[in-house]
Amino acid sequence: MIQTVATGTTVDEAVSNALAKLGLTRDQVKIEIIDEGKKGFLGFGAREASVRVTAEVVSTEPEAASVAAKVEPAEEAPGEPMAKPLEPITSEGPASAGTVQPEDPAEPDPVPFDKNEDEEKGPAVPVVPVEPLEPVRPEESGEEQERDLDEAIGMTAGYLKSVVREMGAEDAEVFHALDGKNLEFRLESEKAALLIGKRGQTLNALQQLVQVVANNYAKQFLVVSVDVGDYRAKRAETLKMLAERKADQAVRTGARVALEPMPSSERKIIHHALSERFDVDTHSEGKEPHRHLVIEPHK
Amino acid sequence: MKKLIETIVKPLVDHPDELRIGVEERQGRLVCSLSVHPEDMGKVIGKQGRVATAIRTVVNSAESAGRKRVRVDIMD
Repeated sequence: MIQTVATGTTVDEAVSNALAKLGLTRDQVKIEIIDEGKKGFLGFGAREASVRVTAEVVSTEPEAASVAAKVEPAEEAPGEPMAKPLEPITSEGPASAGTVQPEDPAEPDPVPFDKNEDEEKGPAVPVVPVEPLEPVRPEESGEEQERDLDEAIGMTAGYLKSVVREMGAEDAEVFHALDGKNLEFRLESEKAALLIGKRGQTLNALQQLVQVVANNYAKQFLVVSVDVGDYRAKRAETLKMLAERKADQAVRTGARVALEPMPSSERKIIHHALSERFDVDTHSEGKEPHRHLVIEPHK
Repeated sequence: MKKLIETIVKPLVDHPDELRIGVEERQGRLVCSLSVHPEDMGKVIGKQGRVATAIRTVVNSAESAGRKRVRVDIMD
C-alpha cells in the first residue's frame, strides 16, 4: 500500500500534487481530505489544503516504489534542516490558539504519523525528526528545476531591490537564502526604519508583494519572508518578553489580558512562547486586521 | 511616485503594456489612479485586497518620508 500526504492551495491542487508524487492517476487511489485549508490574510493565517492519498496496488513505477519504501510521506522539500532560527516568523501556519505548535525537539514523538499530518498545514513547522526523508521528486529534472528556481529567485531579488530603491533606500542591498520552500530575503540599508515602517507594516507589505512576485516567477510554491537587518529576530524577542509580562499580569490579576491587534505571524510567536506555560491559555479574537490575542489564566 | 508604482505593479500583471498610472494633486493629497488590463484586476487587488493594501502601504511609506498622504485608486 502506498500512501502520501500532500498540500496545495486548494483541495484539488493538493490532490494533483499527491498524484504527481506517486505517479498515479485519480482512479487508482483513495483520497482522504485532511484539511480543506483556508485563505488567511496577508499571506498569514492561510492554511494549505492537505490530503492523504492511498493506493492499494503496488505500482511498478520507480517513484512510487521509492514512496512505498518510506513509511513516512516525504515533504516537497526533502531533507531540509529541522530547526531554522527564523522558523516561527516565516510561517503562514494557523494562528489560532496553539492547536498546532512546533513540537519540542527534545522529545521526539513516538507515533509521528498523526503529528505529521498536522504539520503539513504549516509549511515552516519542522518535519518530525524520525528519519531523514528522501526526495520523491524524480531526479532527472532536478537540475533543470534548480536552474529555473535560481533564475526566479534572481528576478525576485531584482524586483525587491528596485522597489526599495525607488522607495528612497538607494543604498539597499538584497541577500537571499533558500531553505526548502522557504525563501528568505534580507535587506541591508541605512534607511532601515523607512523599510520597516510602524511595527513592521511596510516590511510586511513588501513581503506580501515579494511573495506574489516570487510565485509568479517560480514554478514551485515558495514561502517568502523579507527581513531588514535582524529586525524580525529582534521583534520576536520583544514579543516573547511582552508575552511573559502579560501572562504574569493575567495570573496576578486573575483576569484576561487582551493584546493589541497584530499580524498572525506575530500572534503565532506569542502563542508559541506561552504554550510552554501551564498557568495561562491563549487564543485570538476578532477579525483581521483587528484580530488580537487574549491571554487568560488557566482554570 | 509614478515610477515607484510602476516598479511595484509591472511584475504583478500579465499585460504590463496596458498598465496606466495617473497622478494628480487634489486638496493637498496625491491621488494615483491605477488602471490595468481587466484580466489583471484580480492580481493587483489580491485575495481580500491583500495586494492592493500592500501596494498602498509601500507607496505611503515612501511618500510620508516626503510629505503627504497618497491615495491609490484602482480603476475599472
